[in-house]
Amino acid sequence: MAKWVYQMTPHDEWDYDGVNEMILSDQQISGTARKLLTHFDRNGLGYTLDRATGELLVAEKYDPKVNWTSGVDMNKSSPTYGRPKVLDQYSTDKQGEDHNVKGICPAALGSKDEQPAAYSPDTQLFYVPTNHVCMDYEPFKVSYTAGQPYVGATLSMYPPPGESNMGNFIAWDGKTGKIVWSNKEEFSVWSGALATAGGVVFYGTLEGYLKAVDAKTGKELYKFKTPSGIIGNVTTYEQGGRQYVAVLSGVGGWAGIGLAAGLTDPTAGLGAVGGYAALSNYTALGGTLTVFALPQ
Amino acid sequence: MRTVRLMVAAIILVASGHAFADEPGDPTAAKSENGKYLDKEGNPTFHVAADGTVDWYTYSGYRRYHSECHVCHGPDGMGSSYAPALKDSLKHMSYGEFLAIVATGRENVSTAQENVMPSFGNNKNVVCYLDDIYVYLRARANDAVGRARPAKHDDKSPEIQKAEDSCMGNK
Repeated sequence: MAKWVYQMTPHDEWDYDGVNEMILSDQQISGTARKLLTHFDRNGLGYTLDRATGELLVAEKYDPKVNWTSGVDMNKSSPTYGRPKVLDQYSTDKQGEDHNVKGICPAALGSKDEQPAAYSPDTQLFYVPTNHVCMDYEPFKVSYTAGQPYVGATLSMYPPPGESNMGNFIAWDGKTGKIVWSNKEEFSVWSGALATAGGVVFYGTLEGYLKAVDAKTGKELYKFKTPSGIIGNVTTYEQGGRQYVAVLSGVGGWAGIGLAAGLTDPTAGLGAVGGYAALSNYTALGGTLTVFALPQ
Repeated sequence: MRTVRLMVAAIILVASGHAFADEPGDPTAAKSENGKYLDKEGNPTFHVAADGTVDWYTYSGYRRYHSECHVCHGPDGMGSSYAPALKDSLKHMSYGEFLAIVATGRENVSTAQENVMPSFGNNKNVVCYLDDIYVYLRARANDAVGRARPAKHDDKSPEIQKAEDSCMGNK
C-alpha cells in the first residue's frame, strides 16, 4: 500500500520519464533530523522529500540551463502546490503537432538519465553525473498498434547555445538545492559515481577516462584512459586487506548509440547521434574491466 | 478499424490494377493538388524547390520512415544486414507494387537470405502515410534529397490535415 505519491512532470511533453534512482539519507534540515529522499529527475530538477511523510522540501534546477519550467510551486496553500510551472514557448503540447519546438533544455535524455549519483555522509553532498544537452522536439500524430513500435516525435540534440561541453560532474547540496562545485566535461557524464570515505570521488567519461576528484572541491587528483568510453558504474572493494577500484568500459547507451550502432544520421537514435558525433574521434568500441589497486 | 480494412482492400485493388512489372516511371511532378505532387501517370511524387524546400509529403515521409521503417531498412533508406536499401529498391519498383508489399508483407527466403517483412496493413502509422513514405523514398531513389532531415519544407495544407485526421480517426 503506497504511503504517499509525488509526480515530477505531470502531463510529460518531453520524454522526461521519472526512472532515475532515489537516494536515501539522514540529514539535518533547519536543525531537525529528517529522513530524506533525494532524486535527480530527467526533467532537470533535483528533489528532496521527507521520505516518511512525502513532504516536498526542495525542488531546484541542478543544471542552470534548464528552461522548460520557471520552477516548482512551493506554496502549500496554492492549488498548484508541487507542480512545475511550464513555459508555453517550450511546451510541445501547446505548440502542437508538426511544430518544431526549438531550444528545450534538457533534451529527452534528461539532465541525468539512469547513471546513478552517489552520496557521501562525510561531506553531506551528492555527486551527480549530468547531461548538459538541449533539443529541438517536433511531435507528430501516432496511433498504437499492438506488437509494433511507434515513435511520435523527431528530435535533434546539441549543447546549450554558446557552450560546447555536453556534460558536467557536480556536487549538490540536497538540503538547499544548490550546486557546490561543477566540473565541465566535453561529453555527457554517462557513468555512475562513487563516493568514498577517503574524501575521493570517482566517475568515468564517454571518452574513456576514469577520474578521481577531491570530494570537497572537485579538484582532479588522477585520471586514467581506459580502452573505451565509460557508461558503467565505478565500484570499490577490499580483498586480502587491500582496497581496489574497478570500472567497466565499453561505450553505448543512448549517448553512445551512434558510435555503438554505426548510425550517422544526426537525427537518428532519437536525435542523440548529431550531438555525440565527435565521440568517435576520442574512443572506440570495446568491453574491458579495468581494476586499480590502492597504494599500500 | 473498418476504415483501415477498407483502405487495405482499396490498396490491393489499386495494386492489381498496375502490372507488377511496371517501372516507377518519370518522377517529374506534372501537377499539384493541395500540396500533393503527382507525376504524369497520376502517381504521387516529390517536389524540391531551387532553395531546397521539399514538399510536405517528402518531409512527412522522412518522419514516418524513421518512425516505422528504419529499424529494419536502415537510416535514410540505406538498408541493413536484414532488409534491403529502399533507396535502391524504389528505382525499379512501381507505386502499386510498393503499396501491395507494405500492405501485405513479403518473404524473400532462400539459401542465401531470409528476409521476412510483416504486413503493415493494420498499422495506422503506416497505412495513413503510405504516400508520404513512398514520396520520400522516391525522392531518395532519385537523389532528390540527401541523407538526414530536410531542412525546409512546405506547410501542411488543410486538405492534407483533413485526410490525416480522417484516416487516423482523431477528432
